[in-house]
Amino acid sequence: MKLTRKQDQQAGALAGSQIEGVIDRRTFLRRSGIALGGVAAASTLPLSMMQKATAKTAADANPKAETKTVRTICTHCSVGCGIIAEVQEGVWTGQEPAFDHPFNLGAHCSKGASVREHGHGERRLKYPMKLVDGKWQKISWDQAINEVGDKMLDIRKKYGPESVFMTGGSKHNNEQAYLMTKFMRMWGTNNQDHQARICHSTTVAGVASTWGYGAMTNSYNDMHNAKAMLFIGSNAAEAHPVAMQHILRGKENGGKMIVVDPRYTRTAAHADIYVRIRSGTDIPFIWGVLWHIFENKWEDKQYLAQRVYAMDDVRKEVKNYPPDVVQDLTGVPRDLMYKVAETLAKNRPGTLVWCMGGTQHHIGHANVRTYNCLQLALGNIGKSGGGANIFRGHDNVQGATDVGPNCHTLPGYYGLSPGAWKHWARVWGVDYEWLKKRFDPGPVPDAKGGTQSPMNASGIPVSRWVDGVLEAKENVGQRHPIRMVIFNGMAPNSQTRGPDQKKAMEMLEGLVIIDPYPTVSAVMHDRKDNVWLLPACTQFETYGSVTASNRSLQWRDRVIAPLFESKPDEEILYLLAKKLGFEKELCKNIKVENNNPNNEDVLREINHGTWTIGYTGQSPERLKLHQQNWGTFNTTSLIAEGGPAAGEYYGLPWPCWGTPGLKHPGTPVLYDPSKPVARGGLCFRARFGVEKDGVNLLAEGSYPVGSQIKDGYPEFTFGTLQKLGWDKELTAKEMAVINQIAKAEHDPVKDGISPTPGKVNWKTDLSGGIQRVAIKHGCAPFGNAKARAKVWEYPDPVPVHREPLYTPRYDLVKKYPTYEDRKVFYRLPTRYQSVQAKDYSKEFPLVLTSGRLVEFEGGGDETRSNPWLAELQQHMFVEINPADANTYKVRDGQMVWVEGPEGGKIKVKAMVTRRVAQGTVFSPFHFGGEFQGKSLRNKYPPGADPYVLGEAVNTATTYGYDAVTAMQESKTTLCRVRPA
Amino acid sequence: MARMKFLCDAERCIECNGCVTACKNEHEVPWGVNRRRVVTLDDGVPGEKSISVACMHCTDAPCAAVCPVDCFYTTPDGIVLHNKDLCIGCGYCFYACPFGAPQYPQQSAFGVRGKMDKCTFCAGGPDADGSAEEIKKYGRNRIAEGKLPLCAEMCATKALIAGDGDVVADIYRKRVLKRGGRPQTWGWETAYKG
Amino acid sequence: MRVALTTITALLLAMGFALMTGCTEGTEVTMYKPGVYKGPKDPLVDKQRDPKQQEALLARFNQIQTDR
Repeated sequence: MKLTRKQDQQAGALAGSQIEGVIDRRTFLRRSGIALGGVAAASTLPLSMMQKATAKTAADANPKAETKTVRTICTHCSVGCGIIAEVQEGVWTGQEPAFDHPFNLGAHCSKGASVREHGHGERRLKYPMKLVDGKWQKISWDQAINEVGDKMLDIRKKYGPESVFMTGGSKHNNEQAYLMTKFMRMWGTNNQDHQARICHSTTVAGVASTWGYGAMTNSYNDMHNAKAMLFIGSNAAEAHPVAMQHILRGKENGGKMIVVDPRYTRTAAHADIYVRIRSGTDIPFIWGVLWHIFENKWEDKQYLAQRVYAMDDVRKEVKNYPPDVVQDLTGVPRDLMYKVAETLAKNRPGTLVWCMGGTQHHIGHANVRTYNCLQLALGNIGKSGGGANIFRGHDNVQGATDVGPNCHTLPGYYGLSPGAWKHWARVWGVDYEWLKKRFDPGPVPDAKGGTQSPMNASGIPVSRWVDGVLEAKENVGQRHPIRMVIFNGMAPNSQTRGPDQKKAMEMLEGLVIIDPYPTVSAVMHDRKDNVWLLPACTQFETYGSVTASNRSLQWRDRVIAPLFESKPDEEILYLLAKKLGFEKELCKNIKVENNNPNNEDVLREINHGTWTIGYTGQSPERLKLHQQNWGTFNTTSLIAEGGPAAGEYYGLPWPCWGTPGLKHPGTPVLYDPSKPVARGGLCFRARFGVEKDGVNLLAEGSYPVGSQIKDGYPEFTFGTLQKLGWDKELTAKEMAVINQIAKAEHDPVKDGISPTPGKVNWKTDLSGGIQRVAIKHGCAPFGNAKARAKVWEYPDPVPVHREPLYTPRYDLVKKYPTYEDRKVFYRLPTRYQSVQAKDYSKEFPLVLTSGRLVEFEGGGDETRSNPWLAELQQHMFVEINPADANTYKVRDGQMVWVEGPEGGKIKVKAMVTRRVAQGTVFSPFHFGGEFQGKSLRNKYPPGADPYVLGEAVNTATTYGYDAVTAMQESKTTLCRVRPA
Repeated sequence: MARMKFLCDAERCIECNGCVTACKNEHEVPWGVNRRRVVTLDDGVPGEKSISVACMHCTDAPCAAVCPVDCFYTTPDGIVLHNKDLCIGCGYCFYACPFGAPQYPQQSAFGVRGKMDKCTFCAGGPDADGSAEEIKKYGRNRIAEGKLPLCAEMCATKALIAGDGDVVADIYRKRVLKRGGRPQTWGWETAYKG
Repeated sequence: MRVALTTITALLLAMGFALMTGCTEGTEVTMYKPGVYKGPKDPLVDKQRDPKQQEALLARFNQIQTDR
């Protein structure tokens, strides 16, 4: 039989039909969608109906063009994976694994592997837009800045500067976050806050109040050394996937993994011991573990005697949680509790990891303190392989918390006292009186029943901005409620009480969203006007430093120029400042080129002012050196053993004491006395005084190696140096600076005629001399004290269990009630008792908890607009146990209504699985774009709607705020489920 | 001569879908085609295990055996590749493959199959190495550049390993010894017997 | 006689046409070899035989698959 090659046949003969033997390249490319640089909007749309992309794609680039490699850091979670981007002719064409990078060794999770899509930016916000009569209109940047600025000035005139609220910043790099907080302070308000409030604010409060600093004590890499790892409320396999590389290596090195979670998570699938607890019962669980530890005398007595204060008070409290009580509260049987306690006691050093599962409760600060007490009792803090390893969320939430917008403190946790303001006024180079005049004179009520100036009062936290708008004028602790909100890189669907948010958004006089994507804020409300969308660019289109969860700073280089008409956040802030009239003060010591503040100068200013946490040694030059030499750092200890950065720890983890010239190597493991302070060792901070009720608060017999003071000591002031005779070692320049500050701080009424430099301390000394001299003598500048097991300022000095505000076990409320209502808490009335007073457990019998998925991040608009990620998780769902599914007549895959007790309800798909126990349902929080059954897709600006939309679980969540930080109680509330 | 193989260490796989996304990224794979996917067994109960699956590049590839137009070929080191110009989209290779590797990009509303697409071990296709045509049809050719498949290079926990079978087995053996447990070379018996 | 002539002419013409069709037909025949790849040669195949290339891939493997 004679055969002819198919290619010889005319394509014309087959033109009419869809089946072709050989198709020409254009048809093939049209079908595979590659040439158009995008993908089908939904799997049901024919590919031939796609629109042409407007951004250049890898397929269009010439493969033979010169390839430039750029080093940057992933923009998703706080592990801080290194990325090598390949750029050809300005187009981001390739992403290579960064094998040298000590944190990830080239590895990525799905989000990290997808970052190149930011260079496509199909669904990004492309140009500034304004909502006019319910429709989105394109406007120019000039018009946008002018209108937003005018609106802000209008609000200022009518209501005062406090009625503008700015939220956001955990994805901003350090420089942008710092400029953001400076901007708002110079505008004249403390009403600015960021994602840390709703994520780890209780951690920072609980941990800092225990031993001085509120951050992860060890590092992800250090977990290779852990002999035991307890994960409570942490789903590292989905939230920090690359951290699992280190965790599993630790497990393979012999570490025992214990996972405690109401759900059998993917992390639990790798655990040696899995413990299921009822959501919200962390304190009984931990006290139950400690009960066994104290019972069997497994605690580290020497450690407690030398370094811990008031563990006996904890001992007394723990007696109230014997095994049967613990089983009733948490559901964990005695044998399992004993097994957990024994594993932790017999496998030391052990590390304790917690995330949102522990922090997002109205007793979150108390949960955190119990974790700390457990680790202190076991003697695990300050050891390699031990520690309180807090896995933070967004890529720069640590940096933003350290130097960025926080409503309750200035950068560096200096607080809001006049002394703190004076310090920062000095660093910023502006007159303190000018700053003071920018604020409302007040006075406003404070929590103790007195009054204070708004400048010294904590602002409204982001978790409560809704009440800041909706609350009656006389109840709000400022001149007028909030009337304008600027969402600067924050999504609303990660905050609770969706329907109230919608109402608040509709009540505002102005709503501004600065983000690479429109976010759910653009569509959640039914406003018709006065909404502005300003396109910010992603972290790949700008440069700067970012702080990973282990406190290492990493430098990012710019990969591509800002796409479409987006601008870097620093430029947007500068343009706004120009419109509002204080751009000169904003960038006094910062070079500005083409409306872009120079980020290296900004980092230098941060270095110049942030002495409290040691952000002073990480200069741009040192960070860039580390970036170029990733491969020289040891992946367990993070130290460079040779090479250009020899002796330094990767990223110079803070505290990196003194000026960059001091070349401090960074502190990889906090509170580790086995190394000299000059080489990264430390002790607990002396922050709470020298003694309390006659008991010594300073450390006894424990001090970092090489310390010349072989005991505890308070924090260093110039006066201390004088007493020790070490003040002579200060250089003339340093003395001049100290004297200058003493003069500026001098209060003739309180201090007498001449200024006393003795009061200048390690935090306010801008020369760094005090720190330098202290370290030279082996001493930690912040003192050497005991960690506090009892925190006397807190509502519960020793943590006690309190039932969640919406609890399924109403019988326990009498014995474990919540707090009293408060009239003023962060400027707003806050309810506790009155919420718990009503029993909702009969009508709403299921516990609703929420959490993360590995494919998406945060509010989700960014990752759901990425086709590669969106394809992996296309539907919002609720996980429900088969027993509950049968009770409420729900089938797998069926649409159900999940209704909360405050009236919010969501319509989602049910997923029947044994992952959750009977009585608990789970839903991821990343979805948005649907509201109570209705799709909001057509409210998005055209071409900027994410591929995947879904209900936001926080539409159904409820009221509840932490008693110390106002963290939202999103991890445990009630709901009912019925088929839709 | 090396013999290229994939191995997914089920003890380390956390179902993060990093491998899936890395492949999509590198080759601009369209929506609906998943050259690599993660399969989870016993989801949500103790004993949950996840494994990353793509073309195993079999020794005696069933896809090649059944192809009516013989568009498959195997490189000397065992990578099974195919020629999209010859492919007629009949779907026989999909029926034959025990791992479900062949995928077909969705066409119009009539659901007609187009050219078969599958994991290429990042070795491209018959066109010139690194040429624009090869990139558009098959994705990047990393092997020609001396690199290994991106899915294995980017695996979050280094669960997925790709390379010469002997070296892969060596790495895996070391891990098993360290853990002291049963080996889990899933899929090897089917793909590499004989 | 006439009939015989027309038949012979017809026969001759038919034979002529038959022969002509034979002339235009190609004589080569393609044998179908099942299981043998029918497409163009992939330059990667030769490259993979090069021991230097194999060494490069092995070096790359050791760079990636390391718990260093």
